[in-house]
Amino acid sequence: MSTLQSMIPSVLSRRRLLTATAITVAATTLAAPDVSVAEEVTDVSKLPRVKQTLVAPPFLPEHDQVAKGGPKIVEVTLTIEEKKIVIDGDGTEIWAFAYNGSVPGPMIVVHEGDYVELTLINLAANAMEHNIDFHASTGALGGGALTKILPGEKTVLRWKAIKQGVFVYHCAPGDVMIPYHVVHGMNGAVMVLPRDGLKDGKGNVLKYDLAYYIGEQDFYIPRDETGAYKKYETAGEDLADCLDVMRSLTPTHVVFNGKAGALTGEHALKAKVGETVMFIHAQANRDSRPHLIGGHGDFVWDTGSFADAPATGLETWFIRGGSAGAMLYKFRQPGIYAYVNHNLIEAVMLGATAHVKVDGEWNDDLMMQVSKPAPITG
Amino acid sequence: MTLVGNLGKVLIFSAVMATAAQAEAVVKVTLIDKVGTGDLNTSLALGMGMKADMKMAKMGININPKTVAHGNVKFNVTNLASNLVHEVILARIADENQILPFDQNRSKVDVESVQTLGSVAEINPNKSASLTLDLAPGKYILYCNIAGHYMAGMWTVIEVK
Repeated sequence: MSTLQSMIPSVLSRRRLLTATAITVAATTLAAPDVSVAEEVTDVSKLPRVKQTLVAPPFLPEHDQVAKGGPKIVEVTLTIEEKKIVIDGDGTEIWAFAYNGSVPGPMIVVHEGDYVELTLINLAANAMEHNIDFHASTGALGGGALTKILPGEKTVLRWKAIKQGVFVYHCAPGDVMIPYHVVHGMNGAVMVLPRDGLKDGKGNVLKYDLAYYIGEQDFYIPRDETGAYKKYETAGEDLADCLDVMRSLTPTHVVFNGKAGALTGEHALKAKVGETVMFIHAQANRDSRPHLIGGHGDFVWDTGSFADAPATGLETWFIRGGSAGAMLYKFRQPGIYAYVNHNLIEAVMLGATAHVKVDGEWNDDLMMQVSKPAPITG
Repeated sequence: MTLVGNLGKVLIFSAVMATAAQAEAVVKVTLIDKVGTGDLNTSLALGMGMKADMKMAKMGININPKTVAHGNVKFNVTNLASNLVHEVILARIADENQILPFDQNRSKVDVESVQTLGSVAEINPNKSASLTLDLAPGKYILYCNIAGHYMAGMWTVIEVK
């Protein structure tokens, strides 16, 4: 009864919205009758096909920074797995929904003008319907409307990469399941490189020696009466409890690559002095502000679009929830760097910290300890 | 001010007492539905006591825990289906080998001949509902009696000790 009543206003408002859209469309057609919006259509049957082997973050699949030859069809497979993962050092668990078993899902790398041909598989052992919305794609809710599959089903979706940059993808099965799936790790990223490689905005080519992909994930883990994190026996069992925590907009965990400490200590990212490293930061749900402690963002595409000139020499940059950004930094000093979300509460207390271990020669010119800490005398 | 403050304390106190006195067990119930278009058109025989391979089931009910102490039991039911409305009916059974009377024409369990103790009707996809029952020791079946769902495997058994 109450459901029906609450549905009536939304149906009405949608109808009103549709009417408004129809009017706008009509007006546009009348005002600009000569403008053709037809896109160039490619005969995809003649394009070469390549299979891209996806790898778990923080790594990227093998790729060319400058495209070799013309557009290709890049075939990838994402297998959806509902699996229990541990998200911190205290053994806190979540039944994650993971593309290819990792949180976040793997990075896909193509060039502008290439086609991504995705085979999406929902394992029969799973409990829920899933799909995928690629922010890099055009139409059908980012492919979400064409990829809804039940456990035991698979589907193939092909889309053309017409926008260059780094983009998020995520599951969006409808209603509350959209945020619920996203905060259960069901997101990843796509990088669409310019065919002739990255540029600094003045026409100079930018190259990287290494690339790392940091997927930031906010988790909302329900607690029991004693304050301890609840554990569940099956995927989806936490739905009602988790929605309550999500409604507070206060995550219990904000982590990189699925677990507090996934990229620290012995799991630290590695680089050498003199190497230029690309850091791609994706956050499918919530704002973040990456900062490299002891370094900078030499070149930063914080909106993610490679069509725009990168900002230079940044201390901290901003990743809007529901987007990815990219940064290039040439390491100039050895040592351990911390790569954090510079909301330091989230970095230190909720888990959003990675380490970069950099080998090489120390440069006294850039920094030196003139006198060691000692008691104040005189 | 003081009066309101005291009243507040009394209310909190009595709320705590009520929870302690009831000491109800909580059972998390999730309704699984992997049924695609046309899947229910084939006749299935995955009911209780039918010795069927339940791995074939595309509908099901998960419960946690599977055994509870007698007394008040609260069932928190969540429908994980993407499209279909489901329901949960709880009935007393002798054991898991019992075969429930089934009305083939309506594709439903004949509820008239089953000892029904309670139910949660019409749970929409992604929605939750709950049901609290005072249960004596024994075995109970939880099942969905929307046409075709029971024989598609949408049932489970809980033991009350």
